Amino acid sequence: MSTTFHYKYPFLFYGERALASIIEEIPLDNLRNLISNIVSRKAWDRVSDDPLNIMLTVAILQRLQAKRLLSRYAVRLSKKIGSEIQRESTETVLNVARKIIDNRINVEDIQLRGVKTSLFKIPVPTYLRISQYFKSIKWKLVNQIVINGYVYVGRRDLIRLIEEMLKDAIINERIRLKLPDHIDLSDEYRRISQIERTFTEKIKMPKGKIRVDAFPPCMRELLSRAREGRNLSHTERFSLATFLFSLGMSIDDVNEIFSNLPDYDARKTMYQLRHLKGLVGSGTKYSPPSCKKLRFYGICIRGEECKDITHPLQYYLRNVKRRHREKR
Amino acid sequence: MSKEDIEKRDNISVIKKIFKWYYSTHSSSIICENVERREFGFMLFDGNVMVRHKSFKSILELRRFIAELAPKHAYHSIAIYEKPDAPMEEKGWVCAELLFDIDADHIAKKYGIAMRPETYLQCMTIAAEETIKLIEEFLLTDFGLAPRDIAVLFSGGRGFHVHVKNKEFEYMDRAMRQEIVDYITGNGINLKATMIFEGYFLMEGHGWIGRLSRGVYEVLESGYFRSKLRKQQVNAIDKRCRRILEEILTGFSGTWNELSDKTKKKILEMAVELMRGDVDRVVTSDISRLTRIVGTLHGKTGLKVIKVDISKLESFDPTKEALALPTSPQITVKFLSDIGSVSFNDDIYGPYREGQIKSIPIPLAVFLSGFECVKLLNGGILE
Repeated sequence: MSTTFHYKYPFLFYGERALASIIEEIPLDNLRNLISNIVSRKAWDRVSDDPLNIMLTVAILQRLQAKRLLSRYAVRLSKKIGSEIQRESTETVLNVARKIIDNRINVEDIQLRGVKTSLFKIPVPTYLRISQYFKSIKWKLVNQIVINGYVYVGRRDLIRLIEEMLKDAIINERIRLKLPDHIDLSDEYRRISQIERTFTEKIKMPKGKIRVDAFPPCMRELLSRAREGRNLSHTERFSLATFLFSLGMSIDDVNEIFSNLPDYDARKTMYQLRHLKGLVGSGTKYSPPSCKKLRFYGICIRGEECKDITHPLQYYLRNVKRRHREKR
Repeated sequence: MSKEDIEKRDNISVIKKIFKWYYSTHSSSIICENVERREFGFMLFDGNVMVRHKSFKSILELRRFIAELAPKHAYHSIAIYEKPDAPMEEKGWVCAELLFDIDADHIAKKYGIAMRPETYLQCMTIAAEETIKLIEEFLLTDFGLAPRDIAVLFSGGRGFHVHVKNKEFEYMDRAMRQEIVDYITGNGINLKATMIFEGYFLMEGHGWIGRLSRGVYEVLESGYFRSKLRKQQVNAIDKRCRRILEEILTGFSGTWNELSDKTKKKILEMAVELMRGDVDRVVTSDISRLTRIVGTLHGKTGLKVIKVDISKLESFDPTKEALALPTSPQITVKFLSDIGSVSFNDDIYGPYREGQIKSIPIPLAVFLSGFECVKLLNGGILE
């Protein structure tokens, strides 16, 4: 069994204690220096090989609630861990899987293609909770081996599940690394929130005509159903209207699309559209749901072209830009 | 108003009286767990209006309400909410039983049987078999659930509801439930990536590997493929069928691999069709579905929603075991169409001719009225 992996990622095995026990040994000034270094060198852009650097980066971003930087870092970190754990023993992989995913995960031999094959078994609900975010058809439950409440997966797939779960655990602070409360981070807070702000700036939509042919498949479907006068559910209407507004469509134009719906009521529709635009009610302007939410609503149509897309607007922008380039 | 509409309206007012009469003495058989955290909905006899987003503080309050209202249909949410009476977006969904709906109408149609009063019991027997398959093959064997996690209800109408009450499954979101129902119905199965496609079979295998192995065996052995494939494909199979069947039992069939990919895929599709569970896809993925309350009456049959023991499903006769309304006195009805003999509550009634006027038991009259076969002539018995 390789000890470097344990040494490098102690928090996978010991959680919060891993950082706390190291910090105890470090003089306060040194710790302060380490922290300033991490922030000034933007350690979140590249995952270091130093275990303390990794844990401190997570701890700082979690403490300062720097959601965007944290999620970028979590993606990178979990990918790196995923590729390094490939070389580890089954025992290590199993250990991490139990800590990160579910402690009921186990190894079992089953007969496949005439040979005994050693596979990892994961409780069905646990498997579904992670795999629903994977778009490829191979992750569908119906394409898995399911026996007596467990899904059986190979090593490579288990590691992919660990990566996903690890990322989520860091972002949502189920793995939480804490800095001692007395360490003041107000300088770092200022710098980091400035960086965070650059992410939140509104995505600029290209001016001019709306290109329906560049719509993601889900929105294309909703639009064509609305135009054909077929019924749309509440969430479907919400998703389509907010999407069209984001592309700069006017209330009147959106209203006209909805006027084909079988239960169209001009007064109600106008009120609701104005509400979404933030013109009445709380004043909140609603943005279109992310792919994750669209999946939850059952609106998502998994398209091949959707690959790494996480938001319908992202799909649209990318598509418009690509078409623009091709034209030139 | 047409003559038909008037007849329907008259039936409705008589049936509502019968329901009210029933609930005034039988509301204690209405059962619902966690009443205070569920949403309730009722379909009224008057104007076919649906009342939703109701909530009750106790089972007694619910029973009183139903007795007073005598609704045509009564439902509770499968979901538990923080605020059950708030509008949908503000209810605060906590969890929901996993629900499966087995629709006898739809399943019988696959066997070429239309749902009519004469075929009702036959259709329900087929639906019961499908329910047993769902529970034994999928819920118990594949998903590892325990019998105590599963409750089967006769819906009062034309099918069964299977409720899964297991902590982990209750917290599943919509996308996860969709995966469960896709698994059961074989939706999205990637046939070309299965080991069966490569010639490896496992007759005793678990999950879809075993299911496809047995399915292919059955499709080939029964000759079911003959009517579904082109002549050339049928010939190719016929030449090799006996050898493939022998080889499947040994775990590998090289002869199977001599068939074209297209033919193999077609046969596998037939195997899926044969082995899949037939449940309603929309119902299971809906996390805020309303479902019928145990002990209430189904407005189109007059039968009551009851829990059925899994071991008794096979011989379950809804017209007898879910009978709710009193069998005497009788009620006079006028037949609106010809019907053949109908088994009901261990007796055989009919055949009847259109226009015939007869006295028959109240439960049978309400049941037939759901099929729009009779007009109820209130003989003063309910006054």
